[in-house]
Amino acid sequence: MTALRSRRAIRMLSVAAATYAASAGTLLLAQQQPLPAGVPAAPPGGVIGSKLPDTNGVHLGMTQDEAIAVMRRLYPDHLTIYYDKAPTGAVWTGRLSGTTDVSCPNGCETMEVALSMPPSPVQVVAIQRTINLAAGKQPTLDNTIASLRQKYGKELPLKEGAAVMSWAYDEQGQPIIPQGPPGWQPDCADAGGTPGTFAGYPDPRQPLEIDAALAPIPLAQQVPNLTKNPCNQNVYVHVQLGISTIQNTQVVGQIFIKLGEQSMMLRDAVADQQVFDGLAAAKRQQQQNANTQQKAPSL
Amino acid sequence: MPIHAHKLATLSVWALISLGAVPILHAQNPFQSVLNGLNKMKQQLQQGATQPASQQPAQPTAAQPSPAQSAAPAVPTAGAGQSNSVPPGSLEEMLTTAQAQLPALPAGGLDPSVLPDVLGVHIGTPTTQAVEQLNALYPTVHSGGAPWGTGLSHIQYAPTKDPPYTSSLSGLRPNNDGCGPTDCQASDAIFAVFSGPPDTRMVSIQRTLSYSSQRQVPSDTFRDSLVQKYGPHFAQFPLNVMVWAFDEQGKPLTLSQNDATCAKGEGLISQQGYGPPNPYLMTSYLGISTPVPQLQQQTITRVLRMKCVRGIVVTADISGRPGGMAQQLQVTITEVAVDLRDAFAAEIYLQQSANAQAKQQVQNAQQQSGPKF
Repeated sequence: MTALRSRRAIRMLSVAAATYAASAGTLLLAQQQPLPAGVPAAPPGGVIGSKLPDTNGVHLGMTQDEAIAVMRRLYPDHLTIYYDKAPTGAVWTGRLSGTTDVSCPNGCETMEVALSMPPSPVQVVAIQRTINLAAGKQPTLDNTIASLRQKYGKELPLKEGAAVMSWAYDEQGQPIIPQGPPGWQPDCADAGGTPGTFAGYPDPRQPLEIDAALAPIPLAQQVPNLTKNPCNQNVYVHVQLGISTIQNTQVVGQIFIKLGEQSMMLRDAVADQQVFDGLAAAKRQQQQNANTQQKAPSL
Repeated sequence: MPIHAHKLATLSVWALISLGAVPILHAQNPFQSVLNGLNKMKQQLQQGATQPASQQPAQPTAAQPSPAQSAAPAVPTAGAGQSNSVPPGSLEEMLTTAQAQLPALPAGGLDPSVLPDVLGVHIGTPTTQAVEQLNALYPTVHSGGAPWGTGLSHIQYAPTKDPPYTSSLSGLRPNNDGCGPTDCQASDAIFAVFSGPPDTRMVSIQRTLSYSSQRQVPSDTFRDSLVQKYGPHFAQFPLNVMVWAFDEQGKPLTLSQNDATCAKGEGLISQQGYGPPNPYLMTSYLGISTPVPQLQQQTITRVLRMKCVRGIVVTADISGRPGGMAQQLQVTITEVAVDLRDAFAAEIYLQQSANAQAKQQVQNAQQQSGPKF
């Protein structure tokens, strides 16, 4: 009996070791998989946050720790950190949410920061900021536009009126004029969506469990549509202004700012999904192997 | 009814209407039913203010009126200031032009003492004085858990930093003459509305006397007392509604039946406001809620045309058939002319304040560089 147990234990250990090896091998294989055609490659040296646009000091491309440090400084009283758990078991900060005043009697602002998921490096991929200006602190439209140009440069030539402004950059922070199909306007306020980002839960001990980076459709079917959308490439800043008119003077009472590192968002989501697909395939293979080693029952 | 009871009822009514406060003899408390009646009274006053115009004004259009004399109320500190020039085509210009169509003040100014009254409180009395008088007539007494006395409501002009003004007063006291041996569903309720700054006066007063079923008063007794107080020149409506009209010197006017019908439904422009803790925030006295000039002018024209009697209207409603018994008497006096004049003056003040506030907002905006992006 003891010998039987020993042989069974050795067999179980062998299966476990093989599974681990298979998974690790598959993981390694997935990480080295080339990205599908059309998915933008990372710039040399990777994405560096300090080179990319920011709002109030929160840069696209910032690491998780950098982003949390800045958000704590901006919203010391009302900051919530949200946690997710990847299929690899890694727990990361998927979202940061801050506000200056929950009741907003004298003007306030809120900021939502989304970060990409592991195993890709966890970095800021999208920011949304809403500023509500109290009466008496609302600037003219002209002053607001001047301040925005000073920050982000000359805006793209959109046909949406003075209340909407957009800027585009490459992944090294250089201004560009993105190209698209005829009639396309480079107004990419999350028009490409926010793939690979998730809401999360505020308790790190009970994170939101994510089972995929993208939709539950085979990656090979998803990628062409994702890469076809020109708003899934490059870096964008988009501003929408809430304007009222007082005695023929346009005054800004609300400002909505969206920033998106669309290239990195897509690239990381696709790369992560490749890893998860690999893990799932390894698991299936492991199960199949285990099945083939099953003895036939005594008949 | 026995003669001595009839005389007693007559004396009671006469005393109530003409002489003033009745001593409180009992601590009985028909509070809830009276509150219901009070609320209904308030609703009636407000509903009258929204009735559509159906008559041309009975009084001819007047020359540009001079500001009404005001004894007590404080003109609010001007957060706005006065504009030196009225922008052409502006709402302020429309209002200033419309003022020419308002009833002129009587020569020598308004003298409330010659105007109709309730319990000696004359219509047109400056607010502070009227409130003092009514507080004295309806003193605060806490009886049986429900208080007798008065309560005030207030309005604040939204585009100013002026303090809220007293916009209405409601008061309640027992009607001991209306109490029967086993039933004291009787009360004496008062409700007054005051115009807003720059001039503040009592523009409406309504008194409701209710009697228990055991102590009803002959309708004719009420009627006789009313005629004795307000005069014989009234219009009679079914069932037992009487309407008088006076000019602003207290002289009775004879109304056509059409004008009397219009006057019966005469409502107020001035609003009653909110009770504590927060005042009603007013952006427009005349109810102009559109920035479109044509629609603004339509509102102004409608307000002017609604007023068929541009003086004082007294309405009495006896709840009982002629020749029968009545359980309630309600008397309402409205100073239509003061309400009109003060409404337009207040609206001009509000518009000037709003314009000054907007100008300041623009100046502030031009100095703001915006938030840190």
